[in-house]
Amino acid sequence: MIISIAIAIFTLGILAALFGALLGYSSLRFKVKEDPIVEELDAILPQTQCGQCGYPGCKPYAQAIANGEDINKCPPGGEAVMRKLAERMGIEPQQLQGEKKPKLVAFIHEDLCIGCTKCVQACPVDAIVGSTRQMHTVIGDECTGCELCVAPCPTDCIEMLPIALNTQNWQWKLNVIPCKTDTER
Amino acid sequence: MTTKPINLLSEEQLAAILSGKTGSFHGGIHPPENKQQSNQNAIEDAGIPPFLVIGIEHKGHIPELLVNVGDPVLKGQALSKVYGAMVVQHASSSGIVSAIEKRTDLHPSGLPILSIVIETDGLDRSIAYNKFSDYQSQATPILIEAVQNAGIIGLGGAGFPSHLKLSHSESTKLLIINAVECEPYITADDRLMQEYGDEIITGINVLQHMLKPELTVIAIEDNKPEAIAALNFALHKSQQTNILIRSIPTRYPSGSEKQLIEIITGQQTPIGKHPTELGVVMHNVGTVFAIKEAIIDSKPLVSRIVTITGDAFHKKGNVSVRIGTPIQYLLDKYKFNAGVSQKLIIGGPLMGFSINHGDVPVTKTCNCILAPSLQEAPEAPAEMPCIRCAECAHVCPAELLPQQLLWYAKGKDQQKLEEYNLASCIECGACAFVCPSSIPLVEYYRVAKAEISSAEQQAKKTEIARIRFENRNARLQQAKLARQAKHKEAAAKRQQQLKEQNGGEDLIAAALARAQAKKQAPGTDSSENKSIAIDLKKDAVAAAIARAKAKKAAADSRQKNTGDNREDAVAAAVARAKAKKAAADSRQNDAGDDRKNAVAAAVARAKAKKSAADSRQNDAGDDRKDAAVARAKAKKAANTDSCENNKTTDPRKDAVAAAVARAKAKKQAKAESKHTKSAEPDNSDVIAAREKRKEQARLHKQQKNQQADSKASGQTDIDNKQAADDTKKARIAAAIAKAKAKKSAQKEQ
Repeated sequence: MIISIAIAIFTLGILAALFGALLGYSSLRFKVKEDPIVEELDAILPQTQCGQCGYPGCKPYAQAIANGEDINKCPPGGEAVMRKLAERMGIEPQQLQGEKKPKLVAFIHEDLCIGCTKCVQACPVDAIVGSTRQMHTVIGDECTGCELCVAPCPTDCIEMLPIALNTQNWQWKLNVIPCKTDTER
Repeated sequence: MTTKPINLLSEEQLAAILSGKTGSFHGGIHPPENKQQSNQNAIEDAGIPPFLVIGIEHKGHIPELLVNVGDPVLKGQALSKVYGAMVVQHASSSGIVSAIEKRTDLHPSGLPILSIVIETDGLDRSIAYNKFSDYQSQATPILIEAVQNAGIIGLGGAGFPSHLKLSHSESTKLLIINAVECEPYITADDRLMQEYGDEIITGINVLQHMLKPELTVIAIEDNKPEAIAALNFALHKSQQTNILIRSIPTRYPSGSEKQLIEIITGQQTPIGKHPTELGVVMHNVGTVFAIKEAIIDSKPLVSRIVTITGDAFHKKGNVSVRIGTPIQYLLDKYKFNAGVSQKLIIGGPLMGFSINHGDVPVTKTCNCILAPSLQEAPEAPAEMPCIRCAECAHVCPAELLPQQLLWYAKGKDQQKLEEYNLASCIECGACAFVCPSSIPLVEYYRVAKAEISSAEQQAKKTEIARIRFENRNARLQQAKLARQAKHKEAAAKRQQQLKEQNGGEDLIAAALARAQAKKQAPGTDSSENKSIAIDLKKDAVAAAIARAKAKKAAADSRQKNTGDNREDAVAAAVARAKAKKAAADSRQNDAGDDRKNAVAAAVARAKAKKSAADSRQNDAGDDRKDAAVARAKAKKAANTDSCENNKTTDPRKDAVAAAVARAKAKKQAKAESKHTKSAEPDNSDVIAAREKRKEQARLHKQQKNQQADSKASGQTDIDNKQAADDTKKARIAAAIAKAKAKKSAQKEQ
C-alpha cells in the first residue's frame, strides 16, 4: 500500500520535473521577441498618427490594444477598423467613441504663414516642409489628415480641406453627377 | 513586361493561323447591329469650331506646357512636353490660346481637368511638317519617339499609348490589326477602311518595320463586306503576301483584345498577363492610320473619325472631328433633336457612357456620339432581384461568374471579388444585356473596381504614412542620443578643464572617494584604518599642494612687489629729473619760479604716494588671497578631522544599537515568561548579551541585527528546551511519586 503510493508520487514527481525542465527550456529557446499581434493590429489601424486614441501614434495604440485597451478609440478608422480589430482580438465589437469624419487634408494659407516651424515639428509624418522664417507648405499626398498641425499654428493659417474629387478617386457614383440635360430644342 | 515572355506562339501555331484555322471565345451575344444608319455616307469634315478645348491632364499628372495664355498657335503645334509615358498634345487648328483652366473632361464622372482653350481663327494654318525621307532607314527607337511625339494613343476606345505597344520588337510573333468594330452603331473604322485602304496598308508596313512580326493578320467582322473588299483591293495593289485578312463571324465582343487573340490564335492570354506574353501585339485600324500619318507624313494626331448616329440626330454619318471640338458644336451641326429623357452616349450602347451636357470636348478615344430616340433605347426597366438563371455566366466572354460577382459586389466583399477574378472583367456588358432581371451588372462591377482600387491606394498611402512615422521617430531618437552625447562630451570637457585648473587633481573624484570612504567607515577595523590612512595621505597631498600654491602666490606677489618697486624707482627718477629740470629752469629763469618748483615737487610727491599706495594695495590683495587659501585649507583640514571623528565614534549609532538590544532583551524575557513558570535566572544572560552587543556596537548594523537575532532565537530555543526538560522531569517525578504511593497503598492493603 505505502509502497504503491510512494511509487506513484515518485513517478509523478519525476514527470513533473521533466516537463518543468522542458517548458523552461522551450520558453528560453523559442522566446518571441515582440508580440506579433502588435504588428498585425498596427497594420489594421489607419496610420493617421493623429493621437485621437490618447496614444502617441498608431503603433503605441496597437500595443495598448494587445495589452487589453478598448478597441473603439480610433475615429479615423471608423466602424470598419473597429470590427477588424474585434475580429483579430476575438472580442465583441464596441460602440465607437467619436464619429468618423470624411478624410481631410491640411492646407496652409501661405500669405498668413510666418515661418515659425511649429507645424513642421507637430507633423507626425513629415508632410510639412519649410524652414525658419520661410513659408511652409503641406505635401498633400503625404498628409494623413490628423489635424495635429492646426492647434500649434500661432496665426491659425492651417485649414483642413476635404480631398478634391478627381477622375482617380471617383467612385462611379453616377447618381451624384449634377444633371444639365439639354431639352429645350 | 520586363520579364521574358514564356508562352510565345510556336511556329506550328503560326502555320495553323496561316492555314485559316480560327478559334472561338466563350459566350458572346448578338445585339442588333444598327450600323447601316451611319456607314452609307463618306467621311466628311466637321469643320472648325469657334473654340477648342484640349485636355492635357492625365490621371492627375500635368506635363510641362509649351504655350501661355495669349500665344498664337498653329495646327499641329505641340502644346505640352513628353511626360513619362504620356503623349504630346497638339493644337488641332490655328488660333490663340484664350485660357488654360479646368474644363469638363469627356469622362463618365463629368469632372474637370486642366485644359488649354484655343480660340480658333478659322484659317486652319498648319505648321511645316519635316517628313522622314525614308522611314525604313530609320532606327526603331526614333520611330517610336516620333509616334509618341505625334500624340498617338489607341483609337479603339481604351486609349493606351501606342508607343508602349511598339516597344516589343524582339519578341513579336504576330501582329493583329483590330478592325473588328463589334459594338453596335459604330462604323468609324468601317468607313475608314473603305476610304483609306491604301493608307492603312502603308501604316501596317510601318508597323511591320518597327515590330518585325512573323505574321500580320487584319481581323474584320463579316458584317463589313465593303471594308474587307477595299482592304483586299489595296493589299492586292501593293502585292504583299505577308498580310492576311481574316473575316471573323459577327459576335459581340470579338473586338476585345484578349477575345480577338483567342479567335485568331486559339490561345487564351493568361490571367493578369499582357498579350505580349504570347508574342502578340494588337493595334486598332484607326491607330494604324494615325501612325501612317505620323511616320509617312509627319502629321501629329489632331483629328479623328467620329460616328454620329442615333435617331435624335437629323444627319448621321462619320465625320472627321478635330480633337477638342465641343460636342455641342457637333450636336448643333448634325441637328440634334432632343426628345423626352434624351440620352447622349459616348461610345457604343453597350460599353459607352452617358454625358449630361454638350460642353465637353471630343477626345482621342471618342469614337461615337450616340443619341438614340426613346424608341431605339427605351428606359431600362426597374432592376429585379437576381434569380440565378446563370444566363450571364453563359455569355461572359471572360468565363467569369457574373451572378457571384454581383453577390459579392453588393456585399462589398473585396477578397471574394478578387478570388472570382473581377479584374478580368472587360466590362463588355454582355451579362447585363442578357439579364432577365434587368440588373445593370456592369455598373456594380465598375463601382466595386473603383472601391478596390481606392482601397489599394489607401493601403499604399497607409503604408507610406507608417514608414514616414517610423522614420521620423527614428530620426528624433537619433537626434536625442546625439544631443545627450554632446552634453556628456561637454561635461567631460568641463571636468578636464576643472582638473587642469586645480593642478591635475580631480576634485570631484576625490570628493566621491571621500564620500565612499565615509560610507565604508563603520565597517571592519582594518578597512577603517585603511580608509583613514588613505584620507591622511590625501590630506598630506592636499596640504603639499596648498603649500606649493602658497609658495607660488608668494612668489607672484614678490614679483609684483619688485615690479612695483621698480615702478616706484622710475617714478622717483622722473620726479628727480623733473626737479632737476625745474631747478635748471629756475636757475635759467628767475627765482620767482619757486611756485612752479613747489608744484612739481608736489606732483612728484603725489605720484610717489600713489605708486606706494598701489603697491600696498597689491600686496594687501595678495595677502588676502593667501589668507583665503589658508582659511580654505584650515576648513578642509577641519572637515577631514570631523570625518575622522565620525569614523571613530558615532554616538548616535551606539544609541540605536543599545535600543535594539533592549528591545531584543524585552522580547526574550516575554517569551521566557510565557513558556516557563519556573523563573530561571535569565537576567544575567540578558545583561551579558547586552554587554556583548555593546562591545560589538561599532559593527555593521545589519550584520549586528542578524547576529543578535540568531543569538536571541538560539537563546529562546535553549530556554524552551530547558523548560520542556523540567516539565518532563516533574511529570516523571510525579509518576514515580504516584507509583510509590500506589505501591505503599498496596503494601498497606
